[in-house]
Amino acid sequence: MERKLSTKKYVAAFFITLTVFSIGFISGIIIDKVRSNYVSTVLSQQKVESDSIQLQYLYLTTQNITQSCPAIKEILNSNIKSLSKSLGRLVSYKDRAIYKTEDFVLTHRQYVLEEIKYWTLAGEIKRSCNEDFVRVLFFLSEDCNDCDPQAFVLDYYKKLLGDKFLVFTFDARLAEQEPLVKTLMVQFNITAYPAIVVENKKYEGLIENEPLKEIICQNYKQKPEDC
Amino acid sequence: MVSIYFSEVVLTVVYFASLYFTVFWLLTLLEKTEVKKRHWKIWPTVSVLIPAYNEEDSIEETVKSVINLDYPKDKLKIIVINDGSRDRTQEIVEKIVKENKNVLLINKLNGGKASALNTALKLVDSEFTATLDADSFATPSILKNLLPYFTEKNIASVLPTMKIKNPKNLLQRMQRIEYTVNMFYRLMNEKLNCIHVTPGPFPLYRTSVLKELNGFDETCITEDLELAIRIQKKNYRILQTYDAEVYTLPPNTIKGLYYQRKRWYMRMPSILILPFLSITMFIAFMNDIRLWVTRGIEKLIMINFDIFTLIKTFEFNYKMLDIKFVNLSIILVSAVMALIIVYYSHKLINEKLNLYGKTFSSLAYYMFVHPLFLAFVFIIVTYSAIFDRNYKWYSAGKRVK
Repeated sequence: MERKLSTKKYVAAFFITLTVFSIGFISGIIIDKVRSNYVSTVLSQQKVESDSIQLQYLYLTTQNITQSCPAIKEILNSNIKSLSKSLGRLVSYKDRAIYKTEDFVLTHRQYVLEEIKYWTLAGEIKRSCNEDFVRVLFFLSEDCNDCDPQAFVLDYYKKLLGDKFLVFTFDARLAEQEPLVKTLMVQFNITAYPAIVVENKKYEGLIENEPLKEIICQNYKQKPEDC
Repeated sequence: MVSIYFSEVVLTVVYFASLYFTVFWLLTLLEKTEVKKRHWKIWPTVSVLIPAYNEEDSIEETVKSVINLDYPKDKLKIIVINDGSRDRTQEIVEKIVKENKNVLLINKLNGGKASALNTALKLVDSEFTATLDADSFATPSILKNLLPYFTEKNIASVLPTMKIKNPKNLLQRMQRIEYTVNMFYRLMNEKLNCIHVTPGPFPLYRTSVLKELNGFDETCITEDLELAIRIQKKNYRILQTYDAEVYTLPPNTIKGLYYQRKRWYMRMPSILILPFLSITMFIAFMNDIRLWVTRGIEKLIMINFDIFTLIKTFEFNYKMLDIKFVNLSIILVSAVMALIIVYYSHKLINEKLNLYGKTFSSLAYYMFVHPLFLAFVFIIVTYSAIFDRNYKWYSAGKRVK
């Protein structure tokens, strides 16, 4: 008695699998596209906010109106916070993208340029409005074990100190695509990760809670309660 | 530019293959198969062989379950083979033999299950032969429900549905789900005509085929698996049924289950392919948990366990687009498939999932804890296969129990 083997079912299963798989793959591409559009739209809004705050600052400084400094600082903080959230989302989408990753890279560059604008503007506002906050540039890299804990501690201090602590995060991988990131890295001589630049002083390697607190707190003219 | 990394290629192939097998099985499940049954005007003669080794706890109930079968007594012969038991097995069976003319006891030196079955097979002159493990119990209608499936000469064996006898604790309830789901896999195997095992509890064989194949292989401790493969090799068919039932006693402790599974898997050299997959999954899973816990603790240490600030400043910042759709689809598809299989299996054997209560905990145990336990057993078996000089998947003639 011979055993019957039907190849039809094997072939049918292959084509059904191929169809389902293709639908999944196409859905992935569509989702990537929607994500890319979303972060680009948010970026456009943030660019408007950024232009607005820069113009406000320019207007107030030319008019010598310092009474509006607290209001500008509040807008600045709100914008940086919003930018930081969107940037985190963008990086996550970029890492998961299966197609057209260059769209995400381009958007990432634009986000980073916005960050640098805010970092410069924050420095200007700090000087001209005599504000007391600390700016930190945080450089991280993909193959860096200590970057995640360092980001966690910085985020913790951001939560603790609120508006008095501004963190600007830069992915070192972007230095190849965005010359301005490279310029910052050369300027502060960044050679290892994680690296932080507190105001203008560079620290490389993981900085634990207490030493970090000391570094941050020594940069305040009037130490906040949590220092 | 499409960015493709090696790991992504490997993952894509794994996903594709998994999906292919799922689709293939679904197509198999949807395939209509005609169930033929014959009517026996005169019931044929049947012998039931019960090999026993130190089975004083259950042998009486096992033998009595066969004595009480709804089947003509003159057509039924019961042969108990005492395979060198050192407990009261012989004494208990001798008492039953005195009271029942159709029960025969063979006492022999311990030589293993296959040897016990072969010894009895020499005395068998019936048309059909069933074997029954001494810790399993036949239901009264089992023979009358199995025999109608022998419609063609090439059907060598018909298997009943294996059920767990009266599960009492969570572990036994979990095993009940496992046994029931195994019936679903058996259905698939049958549809593909590739049932590869005729397990100990009441497989009914055509005696002529058993004799043609020279009975059970005494050098192999997986005699039920080995025989099924030889049956298949000769292009005979093995059928699985769902209206004939046999009950078996499950281990009621983790330790008991561990030894049972170790014994099962050590007897199956082919199953040693599985450990490599299981070990990888087990290690990856445990490593993920370890990393998650240690990194979490490290982070909390770094902020002096100031959880209060984290809670106070917590903001919900999640959008639909943030969902990891690939992971979500895999989890959803797997969960839905698993639930469909569990539901379908119970429907197949006509039994309610919540028959013995504590359904949710038993199901959760089966789906999430039991696979880890099995992976652990696979690791031990693999370790034994590689490093234990006493390990052997073939029998040296002695009973491995």
